[in-house]
Amino acid sequence: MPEAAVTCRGLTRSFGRVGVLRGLDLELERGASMALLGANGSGKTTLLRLLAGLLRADGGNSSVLGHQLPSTAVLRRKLGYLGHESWLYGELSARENLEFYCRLYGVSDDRPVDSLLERVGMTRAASRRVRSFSRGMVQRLSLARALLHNPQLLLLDEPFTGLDRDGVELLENLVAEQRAAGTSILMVTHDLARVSLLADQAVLLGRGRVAWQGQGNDLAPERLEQAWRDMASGQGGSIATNGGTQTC
Amino acid sequence: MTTIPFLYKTESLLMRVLPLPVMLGMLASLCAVFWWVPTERVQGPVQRIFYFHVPSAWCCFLAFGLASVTSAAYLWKHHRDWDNAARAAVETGMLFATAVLITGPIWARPIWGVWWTWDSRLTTMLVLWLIFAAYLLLRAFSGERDGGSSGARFAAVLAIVGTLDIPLIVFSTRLWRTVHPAVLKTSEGGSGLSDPRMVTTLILCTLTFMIMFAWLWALGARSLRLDDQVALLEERGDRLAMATGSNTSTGEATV
Amino acid sequence: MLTLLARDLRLQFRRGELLASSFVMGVLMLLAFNFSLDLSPDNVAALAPGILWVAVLFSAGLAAGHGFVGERENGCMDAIVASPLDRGSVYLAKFIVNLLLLLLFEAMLLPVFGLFFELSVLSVLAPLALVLLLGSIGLAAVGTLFALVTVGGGGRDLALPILLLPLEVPLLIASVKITRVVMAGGGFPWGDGWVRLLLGFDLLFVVAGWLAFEYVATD
Repeated sequence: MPEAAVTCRGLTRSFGRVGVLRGLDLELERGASMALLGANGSGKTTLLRLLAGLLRADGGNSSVLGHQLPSTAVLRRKLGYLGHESWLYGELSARENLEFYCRLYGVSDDRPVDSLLERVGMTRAASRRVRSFSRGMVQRLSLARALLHNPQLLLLDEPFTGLDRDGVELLENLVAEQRAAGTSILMVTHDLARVSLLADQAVLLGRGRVAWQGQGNDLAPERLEQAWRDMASGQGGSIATNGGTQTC
Repeated sequence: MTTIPFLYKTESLLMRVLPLPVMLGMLASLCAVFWWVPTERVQGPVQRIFYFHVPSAWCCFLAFGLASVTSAAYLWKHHRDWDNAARAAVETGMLFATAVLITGPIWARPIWGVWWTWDSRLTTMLVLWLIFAAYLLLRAFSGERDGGSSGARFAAVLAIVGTLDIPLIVFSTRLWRTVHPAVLKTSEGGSGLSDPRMVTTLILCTLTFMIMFAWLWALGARSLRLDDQVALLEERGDRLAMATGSNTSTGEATV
Repeated sequence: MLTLLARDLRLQFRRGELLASSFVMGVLMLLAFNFSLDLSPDNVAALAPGILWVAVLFSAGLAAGHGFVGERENGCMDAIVASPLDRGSVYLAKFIVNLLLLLLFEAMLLPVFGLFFELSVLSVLAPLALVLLLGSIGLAAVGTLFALVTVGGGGRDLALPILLLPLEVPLLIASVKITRVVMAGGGFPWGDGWVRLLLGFDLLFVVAGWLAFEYVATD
């Protein structure tokens, strides 16, 4: 049986004196898609960065795609990451950016570049410098960058930010394609309405740990909001939700 | 936030055990330096500064050593306690470095008529002082954006690399000095301690300063730890205040 | 690693302004020294090497962050760290870029230096180039290691020279000593203690940088 895509046991991580992750336990099976929910500061981005190899954990035992963390070059080759920042070089054109990443990730030739550019609808803008792009275009290109090397695990941090309606549809399609292809996906999102569409499971982070997890019918927006409210009242704080009734 | 028992206990132990020895040691040292030890023939009374000047320098090197070891531990384990220990070591070391840089000129003035001299030991100490200063400035510049985590990281690397650089600094400043006219032989003071009482006094002062260093370090590390705890409590207080203020559904306080 | 290198170099040359401003800065420093020091034919030989190295040191300190200019925006440094490239290789690539830029800067400054202080640079070019190379290796090594300090803005650019200069003291002393010998026509003093010191410094910092960069780049 293939090892899980992501396994975390007792993961801890602090920034200075603030403990962000406090003994997190998580498991994501191969080929599954998981939505990561939680308030700002609950550690979602920290978790993703940890898995991507940008941060080192303070404690606990974690493995990604069968490789123990801290990450090695071999592991990083198999990961695709889309974060808050685009990771694109403003000075270079869209095509040059993708070609650079091809070489960086050891993709043998540049054929994926053209097909991906087409897939994200950037063929016309391919030779323009990224600096001139709108937010939506940057996000699309960034997505292409993340998919360029056929990663086995996709780490997406609020990928819908900045996308217009076409972009949203594109992203949904791409995610569906990746799921069909067996890519494991871990996605941070604030968009409760979409979770059931995009993921098999959902996990809610609170106080540096998993406060709630669910799958199947649990992923309906009302259920998610309820879970959120329960967690929020348990924490003694109020948190903004999408379409919820509480205010921050 | 967990604590590292080893560090916590060490701090507590030092804080509890050392004050008395330090006090006694200082009294003994002061007596020895100002009353017991004979006046040096060539330099006169001002030479007595030597008994504070040299031990301070030794404490600096001790500080550097401690800073680099704790910094390495921090980079490896990533625990805030190691970072605090390193910072306390640098802050204390800075204190002693400043002492050396002040006592040096006070000593130099009557002897050679100049306030500053490019004596290799003093020069080295100046460079070390600057490295300490760079460490503290680095941490100040980094602010609290990610809990000071990136600042701590760079500072730790600086401490380690700085310590590795020390032999090169000492060597180069010493080599450099031989070209300039040597006014300095007598200032070294280390050679030519004619009276055994001088040696004893020097050893006494060195030991006193070293335990004083340990004590000051423990105080520094503990105070940083307490700062962290206070900050955490403040944050918790803020969060509670926000919760009781803005709860809308039932109108009662949630805690 | 070579990819990174190639792209960095390409970026640097597209953005020639960094090199240009370093060069102007260097010239201004030489100028300032010329005005502030009372130079006469008898003391020029003694003072000029020091002037040259101070100009190089300060420019290197301010420019060390420039090796990472491409990665300042859009989180690209994260991209490099998250890529399959191992962190030691990232360090080496950046180090080489920094070194090449520094050497280029020196090559541009040298004629001006010779001109301002009426020194014959050409006659001692080979040994002079060698000592500049060795010194620059050390400067680039230390600079690259700490250059990431500047990422994040907020006046941190200033922290870099403050941090680098005390560490570079042995390099400064050794390089000036050797340069003085070289410019007096003595050829390169191979067996000298200073040369060994300089080589030791270079070795220490390149190795330290290569090993420590992992800790500097990931948190």
